Amino acid sequence: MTLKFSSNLYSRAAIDYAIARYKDFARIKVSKTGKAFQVAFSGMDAEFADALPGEFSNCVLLAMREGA
Amino acid sequence: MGKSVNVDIKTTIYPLEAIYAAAYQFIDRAYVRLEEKPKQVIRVCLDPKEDADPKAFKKIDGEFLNELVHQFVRTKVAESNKKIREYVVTRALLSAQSVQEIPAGFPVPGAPSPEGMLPGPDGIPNLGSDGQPVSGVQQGESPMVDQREDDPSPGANLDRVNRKAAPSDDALADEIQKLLSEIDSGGDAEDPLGITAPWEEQAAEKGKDAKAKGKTKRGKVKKVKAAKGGGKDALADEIKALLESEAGGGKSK
Repeated sequence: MTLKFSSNLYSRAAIDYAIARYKDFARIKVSKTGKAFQVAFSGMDAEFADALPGEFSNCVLLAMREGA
Repeated sequence: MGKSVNVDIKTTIYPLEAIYAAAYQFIDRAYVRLEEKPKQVIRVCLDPKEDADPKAFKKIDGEFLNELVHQFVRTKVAESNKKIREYVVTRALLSAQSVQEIPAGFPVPGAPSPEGMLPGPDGIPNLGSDGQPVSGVQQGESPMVDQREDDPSPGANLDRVNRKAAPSDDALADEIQKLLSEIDSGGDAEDPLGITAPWEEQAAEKGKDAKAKGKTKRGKVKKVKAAKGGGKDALADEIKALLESEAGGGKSK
């Protein structure tokens, strides 16, 4: 599972904040290609597989709202 | 999971801050993700959570647009009120500051209150760090306390007039000494009939010097009285009493 975040809309600090929050639920890798951050999730439990990417994106948005 | 809803928003109409704020309002009902699209368009992807009502979620795009307008107006109002908001906060913080923390030369209107409490800007009493009012006694070296001369109140003005009009003891003594020296330099007044001399002095042979001295000084006092007029009567009486006491002292010797 991979999510793309535009670097014009999301900051790296916000993504790092969300990674720190969810690092215990999955292996998360971040890479930057062009103007987008690619966040790859692996090793998730099946019960979190559907919800984790969405919760992660909400957490990034929360961090942006708080000024990260 | 239900069907996701996408809302395209032009950044030329709505600022990015309003989009963030509106998206933040929906993170309890949906998974929100922002995507950048060409032509200055941002797509907001709203994925319903598992416990979301499918019927209610169909209307979420309209709710999002309404929330977007709300946040846009909110940011506009906050921007227009920014200056006055900063002004109010600054004044509130300055009022809460104690007198010592106010820099020198800062204009602080108001005079000390009757309780000795020093008012701050706008006449609000200053409170110290412990919340207690700052008294004038503790602020003895404060420039606010040392402005009695500049105090425009009628009571302070009257005090200043009284302080300047009332002569000190040293000034009074100087004035008496000046009058005595004027008397001494005024020449001898003869009393050929010996009217001013008391009979004891006339009768006593040993007290010839004291008699002559008494005659001379009493004549001088009369001269001073005549020269200065009635306005100096009290002062002349005082001089007379001094001379009499001096003559009495010479007699005792």
